[in-house]
Amino acid sequence: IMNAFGLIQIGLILSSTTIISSLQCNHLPLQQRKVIENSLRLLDKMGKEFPQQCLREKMPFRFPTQVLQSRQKETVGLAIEEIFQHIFYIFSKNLTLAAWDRTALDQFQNTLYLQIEQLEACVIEMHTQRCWSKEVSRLKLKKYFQKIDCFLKDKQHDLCSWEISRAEMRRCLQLIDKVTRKL
Amino acid sequence: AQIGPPGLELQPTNGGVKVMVSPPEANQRKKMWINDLSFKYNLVFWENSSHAQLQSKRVFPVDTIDDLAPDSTYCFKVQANLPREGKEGLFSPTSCVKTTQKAVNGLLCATNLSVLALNMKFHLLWSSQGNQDVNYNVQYLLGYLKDLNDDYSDKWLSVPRCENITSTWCNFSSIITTTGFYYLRVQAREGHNKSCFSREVKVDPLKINGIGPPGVRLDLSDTLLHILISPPGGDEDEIMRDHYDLSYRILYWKNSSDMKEEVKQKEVKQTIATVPDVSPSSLYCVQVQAFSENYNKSSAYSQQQCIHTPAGTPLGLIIFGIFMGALLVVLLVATPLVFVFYQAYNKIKYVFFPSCQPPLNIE
Repeated sequence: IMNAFGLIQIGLILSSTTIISSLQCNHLPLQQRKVIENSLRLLDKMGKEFPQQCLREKMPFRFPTQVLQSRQKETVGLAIEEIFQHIFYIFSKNLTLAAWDRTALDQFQNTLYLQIEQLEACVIEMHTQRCWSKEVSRLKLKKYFQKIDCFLKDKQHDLCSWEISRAEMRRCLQLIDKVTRKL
Repeated sequence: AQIGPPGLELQPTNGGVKVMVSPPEANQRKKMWINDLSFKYNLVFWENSSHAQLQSKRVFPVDTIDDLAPDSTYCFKVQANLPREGKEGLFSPTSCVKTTQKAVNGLLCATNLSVLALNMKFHLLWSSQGNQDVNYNVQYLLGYLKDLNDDYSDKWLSVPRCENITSTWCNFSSIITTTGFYYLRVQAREGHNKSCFSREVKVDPLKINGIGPPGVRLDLSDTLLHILISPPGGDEDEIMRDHYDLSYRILYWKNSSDMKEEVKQKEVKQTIATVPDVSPSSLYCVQVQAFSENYNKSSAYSQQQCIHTPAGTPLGLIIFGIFMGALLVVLLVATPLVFVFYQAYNKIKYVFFPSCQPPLNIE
């Protein structure tokens, strides 16, 4: 039974990779892993250690992990693409009070943006897109990022709010890293 | 829900029009579409004449439309779309503007920008338009800045060592990081007041980079031919291997008495390959190509490397040698064994079956 299940999984993965590969998107899975690796490294590089005084202001954001737990490889791919877009949006806001390393921040944004653009150019099967649009966990994902956005706005983008958001994004990327390593 | 019309501002520039789009709900406090960076803007424009043809173009929030006829009126309208959700927004109201006359210093601008990239060394080349007294300044822009809603005109940076140069090429490898893309442009300056910016060229490092041929070394041991491959870009440069996940295609053939035999092919991922069972006293030649399946890129084939296999010992001699050796071993082992057995037999015969009988009178 285990063998059959394993074979089905392998079959699914192979079929999904053939869809993506036939549309010239072969390099994306490998590049995605590099993007996540680089993004984590740059997130660390741009600032110093988490300031102690901000511990009081920590908020539980609760990332919806079920969005990365779909059986279908393409749905997970679409979820990751959307997460990258949300992270890119958050880090495009006013960062003067965060006082982070501008070069690292620029590279972080540039890295995310390249991956987003290239993923968009890869046309994913319409059926999968529609399935993803209706996913309940997708709304939870939007809510999660909206919460972070509102948190930053309420605190007027001060240092603590940025540091808390950065730590949260780090956690998010680490989760994605774990998921992509398994794929 | 419907995506509302974006805002549109137009500004005529040299040879074109600068377009500035503001996202729908730009000034609203409460927004429906929170992530306004995910909008993709579709600009539709036409010449205000009788036989106008509608042109459609995907634009960034701040963008320029070039190649427009000078001194004519063009009309524009733009819509914001969310392609992933299959949503198309409403068009903004149409806005028209008259283009200026063609720039006088058009002959100053650098043209024909091209990028040559090999093993992650990037060079930008351009052509001047005949003018001798021109200074060039190469600038770059981080790709993502165009997607933001702010004007990025002041975010261009100069490429180090390509400021105020007279040559028409620039090595910009120093500003390139592998994850991320860039725009490059060349500013041509003559004297103090004349300046012109060239067209922009988009550089996606991993896509535009060419893979160079790998290095090949051959080694022999017994009947095995070892092919030792050094990756393109050198051993120290991990970038190529890291990002491209390189594999190698090996072509090898036997050159016997000036006749080239059938070329055989082998694909490996490691940097060592072995060809078994090579014939003695032959010339074997090898060529290797590096390729990346993911990026659909391959390098040129390396220079041909050949090696002579030594004259092998003929088979008959080997068999005779083994036979003689075995014979010697057998003799060396068998002779003392036979001797020992013979002695033992004699002793037993002497003790248990003596040959001499005692005389009858003693019994």
